[in-house]
Amino acid sequence: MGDLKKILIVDDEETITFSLYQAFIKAPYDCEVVTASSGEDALDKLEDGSFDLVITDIAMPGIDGLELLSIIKSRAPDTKVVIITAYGTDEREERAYKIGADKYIEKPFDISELRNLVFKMIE
Amino acid sequence: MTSKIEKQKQIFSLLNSKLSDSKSTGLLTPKDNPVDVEKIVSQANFVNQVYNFHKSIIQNINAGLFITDLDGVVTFANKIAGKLLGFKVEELLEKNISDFFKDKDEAAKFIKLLSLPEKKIDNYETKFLDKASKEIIIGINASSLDDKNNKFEGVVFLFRDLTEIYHLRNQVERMERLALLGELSAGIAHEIRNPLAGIKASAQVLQESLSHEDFRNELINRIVKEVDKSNRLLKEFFKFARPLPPRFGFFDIEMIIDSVYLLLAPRLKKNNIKFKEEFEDHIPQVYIDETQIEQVILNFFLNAVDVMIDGGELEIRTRKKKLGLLDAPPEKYIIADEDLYYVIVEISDTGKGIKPEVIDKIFNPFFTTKKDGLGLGLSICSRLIEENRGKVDVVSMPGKGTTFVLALPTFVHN
Repeated sequence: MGDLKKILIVDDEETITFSLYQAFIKAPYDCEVVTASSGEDALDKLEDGSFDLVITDIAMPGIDGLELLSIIKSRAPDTKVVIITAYGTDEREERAYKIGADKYIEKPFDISELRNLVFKMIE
Repeated sequence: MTSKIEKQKQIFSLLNSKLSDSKSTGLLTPKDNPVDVEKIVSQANFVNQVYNFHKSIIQNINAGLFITDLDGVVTFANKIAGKLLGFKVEELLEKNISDFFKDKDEAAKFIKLLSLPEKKIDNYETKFLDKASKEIIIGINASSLDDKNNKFEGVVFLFRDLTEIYHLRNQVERMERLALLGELSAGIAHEIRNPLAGIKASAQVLQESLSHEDFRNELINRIVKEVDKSNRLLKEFFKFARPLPPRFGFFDIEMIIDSVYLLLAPRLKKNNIKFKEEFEDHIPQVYIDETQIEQVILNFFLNAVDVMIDGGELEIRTRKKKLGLLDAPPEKYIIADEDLYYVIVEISDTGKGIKPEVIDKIFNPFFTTKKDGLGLGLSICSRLIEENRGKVDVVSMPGKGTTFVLALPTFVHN
């Protein structure tokens, strides 16, 4: 896999962050995975270090996923951002891509598809 | 009864006949007083003018007018009353007001109300049946008529055909209700998809720790399958709740209809359904989202196929209709006023029709008469038509068939 890739997973749904954490840390993927339960929490973690990729939900109390995306893209444009959302395909998708999202995925997603996509983006 | 009618006829004969000369009025004639000939002629002319003025008000007022006796027997009707109900004016005389009510019990209560002294009824809404037994929504204002000079007691009815307003009001209410339900469905769908995502992701991560031979793989496959099934249903909710914003453009409605027909032609043939199209000449292009309206027409066609299990006829007609007074004017448009049209698309089947008691519910989400239907098809259609600034209505005759009527704008709107 080359260098250890660093991924930040942001969702207020703990089951999602937990399962994604498990999906990305395991061999042979061996990513360094950090989880955050809110937009604010994510910003703190982003202060502590850089990430290759951020997977974030949209609907979260406080700073939501689209605001977070906008902040990430202005501070670290090379960081890839994947949006995962329980909303349907609506105007949010267009907005997300306009702000700079690299991919917009609807929940519930397929774990192996998501992982393949993520690695294609950061390899 | 007849003598009463005769009496009233006499009273109203003035209104129903042309006053040609002063003799027929019973007014003073020149020979009664040869000295004031000019004055009397001038008075007669004046009375004639006043009479004609009142007569034209009664005949031209934009409402039906009935005068009945206290038993509800019609003693006078204006031309509009005849036109609204499909009768000649003379056919209306001697009928009872209750004959026009669709609900006879309601008619009896209504007449009872009017027999109360000084009773007035404002904006009473009811259903009348016209000569051809077609239902008309009627708004009535009624008040007692106490004509001491002519010794006549009775009731004056002014009534208007509210059918179009009623349908329009129903459409608006339906759209508001659907928008509200849409928001609600979107909220619920969002809340459910989150835990579904958690279940699916956890199950799949768990599966990765199992060997291929492990029987628990099958259990996990089933969990994932059920999650996907629920998700497909939720995605339908979203289609209804938040349709994608239309990508407007000018399109030929005939082309859209033909493309849907081509798609369904084999199925129509298989189900022994004849297809008939009748396009009016020179139909302007409609300003809509082509894909969404194609989806709407496809859905109406598929519904028609479903209701004609033993074959039948599917007919589609188009015509143009000028924007009426009741239509909300477009906020912005870029073509001249005289070109503001809706294109009306009527899709008729010869199925068993929709029962009157459920016709108001057919656009509601989750309302279905199909065994395995979700009940979202027509509500999605209604939402899409609304998004495209169009209108949809339905007319159904149980046992004969159903017609869906779409109105699509031909103008650019805001």
